[in-house]
Amino acid sequence: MTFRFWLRRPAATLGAALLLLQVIAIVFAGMLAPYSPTMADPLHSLEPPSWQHPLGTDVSGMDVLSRIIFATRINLLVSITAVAAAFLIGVPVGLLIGFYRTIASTLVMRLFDFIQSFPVFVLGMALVSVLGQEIWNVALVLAILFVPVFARLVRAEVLSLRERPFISAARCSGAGDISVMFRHILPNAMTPALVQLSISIGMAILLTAGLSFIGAGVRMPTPEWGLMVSSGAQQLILGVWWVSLFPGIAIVLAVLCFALLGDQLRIFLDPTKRAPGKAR
Amino acid sequence: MRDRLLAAATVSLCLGATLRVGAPALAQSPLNTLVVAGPRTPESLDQEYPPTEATHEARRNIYERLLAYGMKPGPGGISVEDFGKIEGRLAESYDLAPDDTSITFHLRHGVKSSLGNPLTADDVMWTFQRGWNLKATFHWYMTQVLKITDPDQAFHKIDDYTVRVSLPQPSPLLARLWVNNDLGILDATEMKKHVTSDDPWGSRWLATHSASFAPYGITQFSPGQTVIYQANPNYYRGTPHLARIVFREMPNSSNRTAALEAGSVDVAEWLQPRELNLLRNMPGVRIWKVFGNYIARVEMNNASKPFTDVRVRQALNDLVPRDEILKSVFFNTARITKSPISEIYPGYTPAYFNYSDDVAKAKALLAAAGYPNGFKTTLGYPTGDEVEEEVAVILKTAFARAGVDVELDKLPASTLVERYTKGTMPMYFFRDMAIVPDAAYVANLWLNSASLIDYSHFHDPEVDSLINQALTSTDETKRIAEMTRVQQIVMQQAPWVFLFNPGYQLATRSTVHGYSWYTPNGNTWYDFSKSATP
Repeated sequence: MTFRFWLRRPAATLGAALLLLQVIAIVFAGMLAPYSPTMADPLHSLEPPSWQHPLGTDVSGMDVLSRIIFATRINLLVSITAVAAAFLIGVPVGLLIGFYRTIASTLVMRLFDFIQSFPVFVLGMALVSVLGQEIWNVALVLAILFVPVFARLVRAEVLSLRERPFISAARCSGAGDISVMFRHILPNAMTPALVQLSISIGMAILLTAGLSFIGAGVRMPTPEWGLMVSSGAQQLILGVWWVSLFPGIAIVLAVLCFALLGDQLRIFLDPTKRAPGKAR
Repeated sequence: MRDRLLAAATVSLCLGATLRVGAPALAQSPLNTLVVAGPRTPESLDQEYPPTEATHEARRNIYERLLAYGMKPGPGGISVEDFGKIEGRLAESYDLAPDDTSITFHLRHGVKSSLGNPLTADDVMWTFQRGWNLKATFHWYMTQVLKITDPDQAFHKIDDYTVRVSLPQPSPLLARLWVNNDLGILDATEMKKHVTSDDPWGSRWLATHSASFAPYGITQFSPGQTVIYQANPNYYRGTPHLARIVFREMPNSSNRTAALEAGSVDVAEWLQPRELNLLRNMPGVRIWKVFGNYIARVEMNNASKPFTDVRVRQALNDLVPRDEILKSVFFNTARITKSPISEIYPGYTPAYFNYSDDVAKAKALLAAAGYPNGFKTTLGYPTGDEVEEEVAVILKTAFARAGVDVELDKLPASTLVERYTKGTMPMYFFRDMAIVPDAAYVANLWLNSASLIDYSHFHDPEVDSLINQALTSTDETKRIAEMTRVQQIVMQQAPWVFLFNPGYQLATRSTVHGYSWYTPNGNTWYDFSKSATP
């Protein structure tokens, strides 16, 4: 990929740059953050942005910049882990229930209907309250919420593909179910799921932050963007804007990053959307 | 063209509305109406319901008691109760037996309830019977504090305006107890209209209605939304200045702050210290401040490790950066709690408070207790209490200096209460006040191992014995000496991490006058008035 490649694709460039920033924050948080993200310093409570604290301090005197940097680890790792788990479970399940149209497939679909009949946020709150307010429980809840999304996408593709002539041809050449599913159908059914992967990470970031915002996510003083926005919201009326604003911007940029990358991935994987010779 | 005009008009309207939000709105309520914003409406209007901050306030206004403390001027022009002076209310006078085993109430003549029914001894007796049979608040006071065992021997109607309460043994609290606002007298004539075979004491009706001889009655009770208090035109001490009190539930304190600032409410209750600090210098707003009877602490489960060891409890007390918390969380409007007894109550002494922010001493204590590297524990606090969350985060950092790793567990209040009453929460925030200004009463509530609310499971035989003696002794000098010793033991034993007395602060528009402080900390609307100008 050349410089001209990125220049021609500003959205992809921005998405990749934002992703790079987040990766740097995750890997080098300890070196980049000027202060501990969890140590209270009450005598420096709610200080506005300054040279000492470029993004100010929160109500406990903790440095907002340091907390935002460390929160990248939690928000992204939770979201990526949850979505990856949902992808790894949802894709094979979607393949199976699309390929085999049995009572079991119907029951699995009804289970997905049941999960998706609830507003995502409400179901997330309920599950976290049952499982407990732990960081990896939040990831588990997100995975549960996203499995039906991937499974449905793949199933829809499989239902269409399994009737195509090239599948009949494969059958005629002696291919069994496993071979048909994994060699002929799955590679052609993956595109929507791959595009959804990036979009889901953005959604997962929003959900993680949203659950923490309403107090159903991680606990204080864990550095997490939604929790930071929530803890600052109460101070907005006092004119203290920095505690909520900066983590809010971090959420926006992280979601934007994955939305842009997802969009580029969709174009990249869709032969009808890309100009010949320009995709790679 | 027409569409453009329409669009322009819409934009102008939106802009106008936006600008209007920024401008302070003047209070729209008339001078005889007070609009109050509070965190929650009362859970029930029945005085037999367990007391909460919201129910205490309702009770002060819709139940009239037999006795009350006289008032005296306090700091900042706020009237406060004079604990040495008991006055008649529904009882015009009372006679205390020389041996403190009975009290005779002489009821006031001509008193009428807000529903127009006259007060007689039958109202008092019916109220006593109801309270005894419901086995809740009244029953607790009678059995646990006054040690009554047989109601037939205890409650007597002498004549239509005289009632006597007799005890099996003397009680130093015999007169003082009847000041409590959860021992109000009901309008029995009205109550009897609402009893049914399956609800013989009218509890269902009284949960959402009022029937007493108080300055106010409730005309609308919409839980979670609004309570409307209407003045009792027959009130025997004179018609209240304010004809109507409109109480609106606003759970978020920043919303209450904004409403007061904009003038859409006259009174904002239970604001955060930070918000009060902001409002303090704001024109048109007044902050009323009293160092009342609250004791905020972190209770430790003394019955479970590592808190079974007194050195661990002492070490945590030595790890609290109290001055920093006072400054950054309370803006120096709170005071350090130096005793388990409220600082304004007779018998209080700060002499035995010996804790400071001393990490070396705390580490030595932990090492001696067998925890040289600290330990891991959990600190619970309720959702919606920003102050406790702020303090919890500071404590987590402070305790970590000695290796004590505290996990903060923010829980719905009901879950937190359930956990600490079952003894499954190692540490938790607890803010409470005792409404009877008596050291033995206070100690009995929280430190007597026989008490149902000794949630920290503190147990010291000498403390139990001293409290029990003081609850039946009428020798005030001896009682004070006993309570001094209790404070000495408790401060050494450190069953709690002693924190602060946050006091009680009320924010009002400066056109609101007459705030007075009483031990339950809720507002007594009868004292309030409103003027057109500050």
